[in-house]
Amino acid sequence: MVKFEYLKIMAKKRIKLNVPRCDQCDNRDGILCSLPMNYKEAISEGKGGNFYRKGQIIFYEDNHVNGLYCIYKGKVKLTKLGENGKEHIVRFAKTGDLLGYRSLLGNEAYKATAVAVEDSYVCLMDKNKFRDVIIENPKLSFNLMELLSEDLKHAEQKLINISEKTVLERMAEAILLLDDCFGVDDDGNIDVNLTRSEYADIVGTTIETAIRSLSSLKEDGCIEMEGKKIMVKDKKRLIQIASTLGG
Amino acid sequence: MEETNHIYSELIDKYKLEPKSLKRSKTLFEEGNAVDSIYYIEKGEVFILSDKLILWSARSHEFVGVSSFLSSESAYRFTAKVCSDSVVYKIPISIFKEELITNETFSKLVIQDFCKRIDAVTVRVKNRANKSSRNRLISLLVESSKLTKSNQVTYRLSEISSIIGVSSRRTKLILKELEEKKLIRYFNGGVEILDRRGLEIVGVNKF
Repeated sequence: MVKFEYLKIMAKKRIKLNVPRCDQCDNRDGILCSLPMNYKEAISEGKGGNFYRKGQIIFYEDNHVNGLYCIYKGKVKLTKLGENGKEHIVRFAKTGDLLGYRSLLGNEAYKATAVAVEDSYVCLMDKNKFRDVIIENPKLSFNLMELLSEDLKHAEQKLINISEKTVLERMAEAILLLDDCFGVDDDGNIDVNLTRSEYADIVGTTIETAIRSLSSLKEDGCIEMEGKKIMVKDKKRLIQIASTLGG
Repeated sequence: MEETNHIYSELIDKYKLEPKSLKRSKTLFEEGNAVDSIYYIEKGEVFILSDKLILWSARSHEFVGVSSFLSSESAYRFTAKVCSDSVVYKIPISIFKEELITNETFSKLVIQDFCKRIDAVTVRVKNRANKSSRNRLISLLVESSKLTKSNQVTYRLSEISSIIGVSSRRTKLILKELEEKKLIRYFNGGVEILDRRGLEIVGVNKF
């Protein structure tokens, strides 16, 4: 098993890394993890990978698709550029998640820019090998459609939220989603460090309003904040605020 | 496009599916109903609504109901309502599933349709956060006109308001401003674009 810290050290020394093969990968929850061994071996052929520091770009919006990315370890945000040059966060991805699959399946350029939110190791699979595996594996094709369906569901829910919920409700929902997506670290904080600007992007508001709503949730006793770290103190109350039917 | 039409025609012929002509405002399915069919739109436009909010519209050669079928729930997640007179084919779930699993070209088309849809909704969310209501309305008019290759956009005032996410009153004010600049003509039941290039320029610059 390849340890993540070892990968970081090797990357710093610019030593060629032994990319973990899919059949040797620690992760078990990804959509490719349930593939039969021979398909995992096929995908692993010619697979590459890179270590990305926090803030480094993995791929750019509108760039030609060069492969399918899988996050071996780390956290990534996908962003789209607005007309005024402002970044809009589309979604987050964590260990085991795939990146770029929509563009690959839709036969189009990358629809968003992928940025490492923390030091991450991301594998890159050959797009033609991946397409061959899909053709031979109808179940994988179906699973990918279910994944796309979930993506559509999240995008639609976001649209509903932005239309019907107040900023405070959206902020509460965003914190719950981040908590659900990334879990908590050893100190009980949500295991991702985002700037206030990023919270504003997720919720679709200005930085000032985002700061005010976070302060409001803190005063309400729902969350604790220390710098970029946020801890959920009262999940029930947060759910109540996030729901338009609740208090 | 020709390949796409050919695949859908093959599917229709293979299962002897009958077309249904539906008038504006007719409901294809309601939120909460059991998922029993997927609808293929041969001609026209269908709105997908959550409560009264228009989430997106499906146009010619697109499917409606697929995400409800693929999600773990057994009921339609949204309501589908005909926006303009349409011709649709009702595909039973069993047939759709069979084709998805056995017909590689068909599943590829469905996947591409999905990807387009996700992008469209994501862009709408992005625009809601970043664009003014005026620019969202202008974008809606310009894009609809380009897609239908017509200068007439046959959305009602309430539908335009729902899509851009502002009140009908605000929408009417913006339409009036654009009409005064002789860029559009607003009538009951739609908008006629008089100067599309002018609209695009106004959408980029503030006025």
